[in-house]
Parts: sequence; C-alpha cells; structure tokens
Amino acid sequence: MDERQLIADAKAGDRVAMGELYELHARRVYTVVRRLVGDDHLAEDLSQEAWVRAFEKIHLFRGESAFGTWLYRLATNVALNRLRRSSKRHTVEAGADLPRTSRAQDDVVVTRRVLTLAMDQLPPGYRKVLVLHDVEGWTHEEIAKSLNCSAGTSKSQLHKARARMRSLISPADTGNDGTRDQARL
Amino acid sequence: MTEHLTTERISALLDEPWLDTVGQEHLESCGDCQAEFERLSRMRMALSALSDEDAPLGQWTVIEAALDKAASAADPTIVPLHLRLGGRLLVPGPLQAAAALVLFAGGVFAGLQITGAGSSNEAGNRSDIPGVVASSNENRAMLDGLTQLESLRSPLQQVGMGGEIEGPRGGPDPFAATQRLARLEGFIRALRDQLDESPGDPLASAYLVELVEERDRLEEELQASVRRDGVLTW
Repeated sequence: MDERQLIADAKAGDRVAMGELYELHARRVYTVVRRLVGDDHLAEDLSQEAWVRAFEKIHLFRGESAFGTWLYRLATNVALNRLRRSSKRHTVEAGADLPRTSRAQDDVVVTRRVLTLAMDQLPPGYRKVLVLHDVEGWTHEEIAKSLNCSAGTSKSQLHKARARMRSLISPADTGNDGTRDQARL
Repeated sequence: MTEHLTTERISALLDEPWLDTVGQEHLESCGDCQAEFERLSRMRMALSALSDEDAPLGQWTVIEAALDKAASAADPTIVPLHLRLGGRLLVPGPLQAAAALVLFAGGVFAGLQITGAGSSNEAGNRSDIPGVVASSNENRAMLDGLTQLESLRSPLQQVGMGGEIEGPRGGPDPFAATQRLARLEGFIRALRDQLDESPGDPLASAYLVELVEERDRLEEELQASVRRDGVLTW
C-alpha cells in the first residue's frame, strides 16, 4: 500500500496501517537511536518510546517533509533528550574491549563491528555529533540547533570525536586524545 | 615544517581545507600526515556507509500494548470492561465484603431517601452505616474498607440521594432529578479523571461503576416517563 495512504489510515487509528509503517521504518528508527545512545537495551526502550510518540503525534504530520525524515527526527530527539537527562559518563579507557586491528588491516578496512564498538565507547557529547554529522549527514548548523550549541562547538566536538575514534581503532598510532607521534603542529 | 598535524586538525582539513592554508601546505608535503588524512577519510566514508541494524524481535507487540494503554488513558469516555470487572476483583477479600455491604447499605439508604420511606436526616447520618455494619462484623479490615468506601460514597449524597426531590404531585421533582443527573455526570467525570491518574484504583473503579449504573437507571426512568406521559413528569 502507498505510504501516504498508510499515514492517512494511521491518523484514523488504523492499527494495521501503523504496523505497516513500523515494518517500513523500524530498522532505521532503531539504528539511529542505537547509535546515539550506544547501548542495546536503552536503544530498545527509546525506540519503542519514539514509535509510541510518533503515533500519538502523527496527526501533526502534515506531509511537508518525507514521513521518514519526520519520524527519524522525532526518534533522534527522543534519544537526545534522554542523553541530555542522563548523567551517565563513559570512562572507558581508549581501546578497551575493542577488537584490535593491525596497522595493515587498519589501512585496508575498518569493519562495521569495530566502528560500532568504537562509537559506543565515545563520550556521549562526542558520539552525538559524530553520529549526527558523519553517519546521519546532518550539517553543523542543524546539529547546533538541535543540541543548543554553536556550529563552532559542533565542529570542535566532531574533530575531537574523530581523533578519539582513530585512537580507539588504532591505539598504536595515536595518543588517547587523538594526537599522533611526538611532534604536533 | 617538520612537525606533524594533530588528528583534530587533519579532521578539520578533511571538511574545510580552505580554512587552513598552512595546514594544507604541510599536508601536501608530509607523507605521515597524508596517510593519517587518508585513514580519517576512509573512516568517515565507512561511518556514512554503515548499514542499519535490525530492530529488536517482538518490538511491535510491545509498541501496540503501549498504544492501547495510552489510548485508554487519553479517552475518558472509555472505561474498558476489564477495568470495570477487574476493579472489583482486585479488591482484597475483606475489602470486597466491606464494599458489598456498604454498597448494599448505600443502596438501601438511597432508596429510602428517594422513596421518602425514611427520614432523610436520620438516613443521612453517615456514621450510622459503619456502626450497623460494625455490630454485625468486627473485622478491622472491613472497617477500614468501610471508611474508605464511605469517603467515596459521600458524593452520592451530594448528587441528590440525600436531598429533597419530591415533586408537586407527590412524585419526584423532575427539575431536581435532572439536576441530580447533571451532578452524577460531574462526579463520573471526576472519577474518570482519577482513574486516568491511577488506573489500578479498585475503589474508584468500583464506585465509578455504581455511579454509571445509577445514572443509567435515572436516565431510563426519565425516558420511560417521557414515553408514558409525553411530558417529563416522572
């Protein structure tokens, strides 16, 4: 069935239509939440919360953007709000529990598993910006608006996040703060 | 320039090379920094190409249950049957007995008031009811239940069970009956609001059922009166 019709039916309370919309977007919603929060169980709870909110607010969706865009933004906001409230701090040492890759491997391929584990170990502030910019493709202006910070802060956090990712993936090459070798410019 | 660029600076060059011409010049002449630039570039591409993960199995079932709960909480006109029935069943044994007794006593009390068979002042003395029940049963839990139920029952008196509703022809005054219906509706709405906040409250649930039944009974009597006499005489 056409997604537009599914949305209309879901607005009217049709549970079957809601189920079909869920089937269409469940992976995307879960994935974006999972990457932002870096935790399977929390992602499960928050993605459920996002879906419930989406169906409660679906009457507010006017079709000005794609339904997927509206839905993912809503899911992202649910995750970001939770992170904002959370006092959880990641204190994992760089590279801990991460499958080591040799330099030769690192030069060729960085697996999805390694990337995911590394992202999970980032401090939430770094992870949010890295996921939104490098994975989800948001601009710094969009990130700044969503996180209530400046675009400059978003850029700074992104570069620190990438440097930390590099140190997590290949700790031999970089220091914990992502600095390389002895000499720095 | 012999010093290497930091990873953060190379990251910035990846996105906005035009903002750092000095760093760009170094990058073009330094093999190590170029290698780091390439690694960062690959990492960025790998991140953007990450595939989606499967949603947890059975998630839709959980979401549906949450939607059901939210829907019943949001619509005060819906009192699910399981809540109406379960509300009574959830009451502990002694409290169930107490509830039955009080509701029975309340019914008799209300009936006396409506029919005028007893003195409203005497019947309206709320302290009589626990006293009568206490004399037949000393169970403390029952008394506690009575106290709670009595506090819930008081609105029944306020909605007209204890007031004078006798009409000019010896029957109930239709105006007073209509007023009583309106007051019943108000209390029903208030109870539903309370159930929205505490859906598992068995006493409120049971009392809501009583009020709804009383309202329905009054409405039926009014309608029957209209059908019978063509006017609202009751």
